[in-house]
Amino acid sequence: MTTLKICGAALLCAAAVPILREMKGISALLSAAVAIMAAAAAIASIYPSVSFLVAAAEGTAFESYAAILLKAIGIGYCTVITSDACRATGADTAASGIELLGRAEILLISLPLITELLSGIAGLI
Amino acid sequence: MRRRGAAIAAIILALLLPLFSSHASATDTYKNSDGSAQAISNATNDANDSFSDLRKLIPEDVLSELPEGIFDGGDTSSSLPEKIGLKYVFGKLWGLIKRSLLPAAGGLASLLGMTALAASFGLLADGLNCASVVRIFTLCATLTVACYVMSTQVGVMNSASLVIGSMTAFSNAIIPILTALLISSGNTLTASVTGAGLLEFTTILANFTQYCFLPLCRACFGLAIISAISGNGHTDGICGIVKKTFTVTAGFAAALFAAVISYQTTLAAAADSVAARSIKYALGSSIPVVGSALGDAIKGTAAGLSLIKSGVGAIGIVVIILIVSPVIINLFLNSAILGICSAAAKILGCDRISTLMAELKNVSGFILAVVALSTVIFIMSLAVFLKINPALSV
Repeated sequence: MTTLKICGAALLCAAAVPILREMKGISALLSAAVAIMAAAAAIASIYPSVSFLVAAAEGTAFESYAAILLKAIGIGYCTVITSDACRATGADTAASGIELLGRAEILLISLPLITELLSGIAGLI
Repeated sequence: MRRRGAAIAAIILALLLPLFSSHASATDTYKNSDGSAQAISNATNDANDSFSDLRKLIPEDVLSELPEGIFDGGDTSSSLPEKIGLKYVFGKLWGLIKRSLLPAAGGLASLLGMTALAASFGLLADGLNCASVVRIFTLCATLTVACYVMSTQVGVMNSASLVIGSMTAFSNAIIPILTALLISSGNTLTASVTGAGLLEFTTILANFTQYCFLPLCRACFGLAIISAISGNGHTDGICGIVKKTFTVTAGFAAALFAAVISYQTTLAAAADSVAARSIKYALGSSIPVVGSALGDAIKGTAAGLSLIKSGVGAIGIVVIILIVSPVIINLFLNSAILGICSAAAKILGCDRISTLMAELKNVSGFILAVVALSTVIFIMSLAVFLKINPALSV
């Protein structure tokens, strides 16, 4: 039902944007608002799946790794949604900056893994 | 004059015989009309010494796996075929397999779970319409799986290294015992040739494995992980070259070793046999009354010593099998687990994780080959001792 509502909102937005073309700022903001709303709905819909995955990983040997993956996917989604919204408003540079920030953040949370791996390999050799 | 000289020579030889055989006693033989039986009894009574020496060399965990009473009693050697026969060895192997299956199933479940988790998050990441973020996420997912796999593989690699060390230590300790038994049986030349040769060969093999091939395996392991993470090409070539080099080198060395030891042992045993025949002929023909009895006693002693040698050698082979079996079974199961996870990752669409697992499976198979070949060579070296007939029994 939520999906239908969001789809309806997106269609309305698609219809409104050509009408509001003359008011460039408003049409861009409307597009961004619909994109954010759709992304929020998407996050809400995948939340049970992610919760299930996290619950499945709980108490296992890879629980800590699951937490890192969850963080990474969360950062990825936030980054992409924000950069899409920025692009919709025409702020392409900001979108690129946000993507770079996201990549750096994911790399940062992967650093302990890289350290663990390198020390493991060094220990082996 | 010639007859007197022969008699003197026979007496000197008779005096020297105890040096070769601590069990042949002319006095015992003179007192007992059935010298042969007495000598066998003496020899088997001393069996306990050899078995207790052997017992000290066996690792505690392996010792607890051996049948009860294997080192007790004078008639140990005669009851050995029943106690450590084919049924016993296969029973133990089956027991080890059963014991390893549950942990292996747990390992498989964990690794599959990790793969499935990474694949699920990967599917979620596929929804992102930004290639650069997806790439960095894939790297993160591969890193998590690599870290997890490495934590499980380090133990496997270290156990392989440890088992080769303990197998070498055991072989190097048991070979002198068998050499001493060979010397007691009159195979002095065979003992010096075979014992020294085997010790040298097992030491070279152990050093080569410990300091050359296992580090190479570890390097391949590191390369496999790095190549899977970077996603730039495969290490199939390097692992393949290392594996081929080891197989060809070790196979050639094993064949050379078997050939040299076989002809060396045959020649030395023949020379020992001629020497022993000469001694017995001289004793039989020169010493009046007890000459033939002494000859029988020597024969009986040789038979007893042969029994002890066979017992020690057989226990040695069984101990090596028990030392190495858990590790070989673990390595085999580990290869199977990595193969299954590689296939599962491919099905789930995680190509990098699949490549990582496949590479690690190759490395695990290589380690398995190293351990198996070393084991075969160690068992072969002990079997060479078992095949040598005592010179004095002819």
